[in-house]
Amino acid sequence: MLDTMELTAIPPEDEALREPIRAFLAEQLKSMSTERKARSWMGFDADFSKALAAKGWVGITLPKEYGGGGRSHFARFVLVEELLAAGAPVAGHWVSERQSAPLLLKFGNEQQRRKIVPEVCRGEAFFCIGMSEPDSGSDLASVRTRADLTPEGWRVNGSKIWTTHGRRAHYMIALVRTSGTPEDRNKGLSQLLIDMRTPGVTARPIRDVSGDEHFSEVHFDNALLPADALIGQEGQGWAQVNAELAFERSGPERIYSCMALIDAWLDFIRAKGPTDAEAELAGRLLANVSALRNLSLAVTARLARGESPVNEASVVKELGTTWEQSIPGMITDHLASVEVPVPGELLAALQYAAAMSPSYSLRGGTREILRGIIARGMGLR
Amino acid sequence: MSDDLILEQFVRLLDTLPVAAPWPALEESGFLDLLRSEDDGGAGLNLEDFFPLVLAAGARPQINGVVQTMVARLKNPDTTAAADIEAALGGNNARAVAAAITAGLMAGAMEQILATTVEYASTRKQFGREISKFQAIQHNLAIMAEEVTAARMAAQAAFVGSPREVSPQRAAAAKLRAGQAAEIVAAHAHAIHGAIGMTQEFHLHHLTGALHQWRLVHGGESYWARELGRWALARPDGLVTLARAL
Repeated sequence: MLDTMELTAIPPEDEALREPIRAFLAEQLKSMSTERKARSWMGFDADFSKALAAKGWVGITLPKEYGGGGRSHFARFVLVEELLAAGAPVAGHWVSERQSAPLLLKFGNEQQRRKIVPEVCRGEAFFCIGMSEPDSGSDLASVRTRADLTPEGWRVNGSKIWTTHGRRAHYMIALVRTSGTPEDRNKGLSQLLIDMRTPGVTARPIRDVSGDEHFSEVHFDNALLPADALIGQEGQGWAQVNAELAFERSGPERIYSCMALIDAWLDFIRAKGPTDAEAELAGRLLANVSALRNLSLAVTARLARGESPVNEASVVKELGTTWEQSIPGMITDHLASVEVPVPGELLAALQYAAAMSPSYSLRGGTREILRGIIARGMGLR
Repeated sequence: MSDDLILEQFVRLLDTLPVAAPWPALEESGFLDLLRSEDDGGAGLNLEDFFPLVLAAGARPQINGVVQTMVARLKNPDTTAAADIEAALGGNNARAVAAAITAGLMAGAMEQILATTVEYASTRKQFGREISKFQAIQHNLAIMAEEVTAARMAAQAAFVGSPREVSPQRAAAAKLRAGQAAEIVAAHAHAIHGAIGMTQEFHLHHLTGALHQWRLVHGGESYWARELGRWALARPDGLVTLARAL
């Protein structure tokens, strides 16, 4: 069965981070529209990421000797909570500090760690994720992108897709086939560190349903990488990518995608004066986010103890995304019947969330994949 | 006595009580005074330590009223077989206390319903294999586990401090979340059990029946949502700050 998740409080030294972070965000984001805040997860702003890094808040859990903050996972929880509650544009440094730098620290060679992890912590190196391909989505072991070791280095050919900010990232950690064929499944896979400026690497934008271009398709046409671009062991890519996914899925960020919308709606209700039905909807939103927050904290406590609570994190992500996906519908139902004019910014945030919410249960592993992980954790498969 | 030992002895007591006439043995056990202060001959148990006992009682609904009586004795030490905490306690916060305790009982019942359903799905065979091997069943069990987890956490968050001083906002969130989960957990449990779950003889209905009874008392989801929402809307804060302030 799954491990029980126990109520956990944030230690006072980590809670103490909240006020300075809030003050910083209030200053940085003071002129930002609700519509842009609604994009928080997808919002890319290199200057913001650099300013955050200058405060020591990018790579806050990474070791000090590699430029990180050396703080606990509770400190990161407070940081992430405040960033997403404020609608901060986190996409620049998001992937690199959450999963790429931790992966390099775990499996990379000392040169990769010494050079790149400090760049991540300074907000100077942004990463994209090189997992999905045109023919490999949930079935990640079927990747076809191929890298062959030649006397000059690794020759890479193939494509990755749905690569968030692939055109703006400096590096990609790519899962590629280094031996055998796609029929060999998870055998013969390796992870490579790819400098996105390498000749033969091109990223083409893909426009999403909201009109934004954070997605991209990345092509490798005989791209030549140095031999030391290999991360970890050749042929160990499958185990390594699963460790990377554990970093990706275990964070507390899977419950705060719609905060700009909810907060704009709460302000609208306060201004017009709440009816019973509106108070009820506000209460349902609060009760659910409160339970999810406490569950996220329970996962954080496990991370802080050095564990990798993949099953429990999957439970929280699945619950969190299911709840988040219900929010645009509930608010639509309410606003459709309201008798006073609805602010344009609230409607814009709603429209964005309604369009993007299906992605909440796609990114980081689909609902169906996560339910499979939970079922395995329960001993059913 | 350590907390684990209290729980162990409480569970053993519940599991060996005569269902038809449990109260003499309960009186004799001393457990009914556990929440009363040490000055009054109790153990002065706080809500954090009470929570596992409430879960255990919720998982054993055949003997109802044990934890309700423990809470009612905070007001009247002669209480026995109390069913209605709210009426027994009276006063301002009685409904919140009753809602929090009931949410704990519901979480305990739902944990047991999940365990029972996993066990049944892992032994019942159809089409030549255990039904737990079918992906549709696995996903519904995963959904049950998620809901039980959320309900348990919401209840646990209300079990903080002294029993009389339950936070009305946390009690609201607990009863609301437990009620929301009850609908889903009971429905999937019965669907997975099939016809056997509809029989008097099979134990599932004791659990789902108690769950429905507990959902029915001390304020439902809409009531508590309104209470919580009024509290939230009277403050200027965003949702995350409100969640931290609960």
